Amino acid sequence: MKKLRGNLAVKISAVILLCVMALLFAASAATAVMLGELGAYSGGYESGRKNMLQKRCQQRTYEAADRVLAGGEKPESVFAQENFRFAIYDDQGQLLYSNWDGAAALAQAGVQYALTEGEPWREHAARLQEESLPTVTPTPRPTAQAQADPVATPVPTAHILEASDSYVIYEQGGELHVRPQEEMPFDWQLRTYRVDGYIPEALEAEDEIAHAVRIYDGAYRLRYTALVAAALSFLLGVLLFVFLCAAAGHRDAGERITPSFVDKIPFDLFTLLMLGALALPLSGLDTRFNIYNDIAGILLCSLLFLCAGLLFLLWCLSLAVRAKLGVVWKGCLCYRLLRWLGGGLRGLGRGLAALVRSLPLLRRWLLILALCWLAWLGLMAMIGIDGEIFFLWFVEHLILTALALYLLLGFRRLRLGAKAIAGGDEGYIVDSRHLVWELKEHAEDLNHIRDGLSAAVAERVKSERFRTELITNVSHDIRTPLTSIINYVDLLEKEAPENERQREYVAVLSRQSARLKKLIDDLMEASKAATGNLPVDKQPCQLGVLLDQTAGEYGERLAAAGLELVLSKPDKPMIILADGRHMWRIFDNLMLNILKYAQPGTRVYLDLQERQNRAAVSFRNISRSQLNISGEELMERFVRGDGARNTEGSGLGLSIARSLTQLQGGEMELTVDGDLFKVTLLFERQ
Amino acid sequence: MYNILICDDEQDIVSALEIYLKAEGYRCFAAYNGREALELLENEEIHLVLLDVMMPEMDGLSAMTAMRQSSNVPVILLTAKGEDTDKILGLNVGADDYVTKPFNPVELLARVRSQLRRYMQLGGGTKREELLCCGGLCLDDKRKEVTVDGEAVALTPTEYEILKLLLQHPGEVFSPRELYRRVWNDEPYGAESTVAVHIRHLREKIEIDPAQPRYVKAVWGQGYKLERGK
Repeated sequence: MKKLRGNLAVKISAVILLCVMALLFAASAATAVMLGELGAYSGGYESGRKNMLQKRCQQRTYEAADRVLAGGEKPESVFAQENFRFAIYDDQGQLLYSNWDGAAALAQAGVQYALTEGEPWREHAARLQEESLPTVTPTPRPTAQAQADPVATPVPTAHILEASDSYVIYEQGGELHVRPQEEMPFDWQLRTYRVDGYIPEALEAEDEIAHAVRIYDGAYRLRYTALVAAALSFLLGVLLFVFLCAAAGHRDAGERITPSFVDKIPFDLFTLLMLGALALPLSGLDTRFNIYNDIAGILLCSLLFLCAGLLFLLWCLSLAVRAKLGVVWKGCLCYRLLRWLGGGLRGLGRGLAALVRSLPLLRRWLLILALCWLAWLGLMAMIGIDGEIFFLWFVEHLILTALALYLLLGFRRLRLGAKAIAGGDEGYIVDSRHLVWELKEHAEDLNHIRDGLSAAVAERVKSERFRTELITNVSHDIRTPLTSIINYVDLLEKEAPENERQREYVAVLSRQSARLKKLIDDLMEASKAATGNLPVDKQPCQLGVLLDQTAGEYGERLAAAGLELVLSKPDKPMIILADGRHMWRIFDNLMLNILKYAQPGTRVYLDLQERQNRAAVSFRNISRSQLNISGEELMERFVRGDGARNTEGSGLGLSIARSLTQLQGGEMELTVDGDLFKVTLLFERQ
Repeated sequence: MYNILICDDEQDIVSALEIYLKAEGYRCFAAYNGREALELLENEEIHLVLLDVMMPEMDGLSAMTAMRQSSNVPVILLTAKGEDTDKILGLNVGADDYVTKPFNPVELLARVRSQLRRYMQLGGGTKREELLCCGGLCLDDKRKEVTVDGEAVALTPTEYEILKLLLQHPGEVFSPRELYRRVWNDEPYGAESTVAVHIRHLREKIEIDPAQPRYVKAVWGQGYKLERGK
């Protein structure tokens, strides 16, 4: 089934078969319906044949009456060459004309034909009866108008055109009138004729009746076959239709639905086109062709129906494809139109909202006030209030508006003040004059906040400066005694004490004093770097060169510590603006850090990359000891990854590196991922 | 026998320095402020001055300014601040070298030796034109000899070539790539860090403190240069 539905040849065959089925169904169903109407199924051959002939006879009788009585043809020439005879009687039952010999008839029909006395058939009736039918000369019935105007105007001759049991249509003075019989302004008379028609038993002439009898004979022979054929073709047709619908849109054995160009036509447009194309031939069909008799007409008609049916089929299949894709409604032109309209409206709304939002507070509220005024005035114009009430109302609104404006201006002042204070403007004073109630209090509170804030900022700046000075002075004051300590410890060492224990003690003194020296140096540098108290001389700095220099300085020391340095950098030069000495201090600190804390026997990676137009240098190594601490904490002063704090170093290396990086406008990221320790430096590229 | 004037307000430091210098065979004179130092300088034949910067009565920088008006005796500043601005100021005023407190006695002695050798040699010996010199660093291309303050230094051929190039263009910054091209006569192809390694070895041989080089300096992120002598 899946293979079949993707096959184009199968589909085309199905369509052709469906057409054949449709034609077959139409033919067999028409036959069956005709036979059914004639009662051939219930009453048998004779009954059906009789009914059929009876029908024809009735038709002909009417036609004959029409042609002779109304049309004025000579009775001898009407149906002269056909298997039909007729007789005309007047309303007294007197025979006027007959060509019927009174022999046995296959069918017989009688028609009452009412004729008014009037112009068109006078001659003809006179010829039939050899008596004149007088023209009606209306004698007006007395009316109210007639009494008011006694001078009777001459009444023109009236011609009765048609009369039924209740209505009369007549022509008088060039105008057409339709009146109920009771309201007729004049008296008139109707003459009723009777026409009897007969079909003789011997169908001598080769006419339509003989033809119809033959068709009936044939149809009757096929009466059951037609039923079966109709049912089968209907069933098969439905099956084919269902198959085509199911297969619509499938181009291969897969489940994929591929819309064709037909399915791209807007659905509503397609539907309208289809209905138009169907209605056009159908509407003109009856009038243009005698579809019952003409063979060419039948063929043309079938062809038209076939085309219409194919078009309908196409529409159905397209509907099936769209339903499968779920785009029946979305494929409609009106859907797109509605969407477009909706989008436009939404956009308009959004634009207006954005416009109002973008307005400053004051202008936004002024706009709202203006709109309110417009609404008030409009309302008043509509209701029509005038005089004193209007004046009072107007004054009330004027006062309210003034109050609202005052509050708005006050609020704006507070807002500007708060903004300035939030932005760090310590000198801003919110003007609390001319403000009342809570607005005044708020302004004063804002000023208090500002006072507190500027005091706190001043305090912080002062304490920062004090701290830097303290560290500088203390470190200076410590250096002098430390110099003596180092020198005399060195001298002690040179004395080479004989006692082993003394030598050990002196060694400890020497080591610790050296560490103290390093600590003081780092402390001072960290303090200066953190407070930005260092001159920065920015020069173009090639990070690639710096990496090479670092590798040159540290390569052998790393190798001695059992570490392998892996360097990678791009071919193109990466230039940043930085102070070379500070950059070296950063690299130096980080490499020292690696040297101290990296696990021997591992690799150290030094990468230079471009990241979002910034130069990124990353240092990666495997930590020797477990790091139970976050990268952020590691950058704090005096924090070291090893809890014991027994290794040499001050714990300031990373902190200094970060401060120096920030001082030059860079960024330092530190990540600890298990034992992987990674520092990334980010600088803006030149 | 050289005479060295030690000037510091801290008596312990003066004593310690005396012990070190005497052990090396120098004669020492002690002063405890700038004024005393100037007096001693007038009265005695002094070959080198160790001068503390921060002192009462007259500080080291003023004392040195006064000294320089009459004498070109080498002066090594002892600075406790260790700040770049102080060092630069001291060198500009006329100091020959500086040591940051707390100093390493061995390093101090090396600097003293270096300054004395230069002072005495430059004063006595004649300067030869074919020598490439910068401060106490001299390169004799005919003899393929390098001396630092008169003391011969053994360099590898590569180190020698690098130093020669730098001495020929004092003050000029060479990138590692450029140095490699000029010295190795080849394209580096990623071997730039080799240059850095050789520079470090060179520095270890000719500098007293390789971390604070006097001659071969790194311009970080750009390359290397020879500090132009005064």
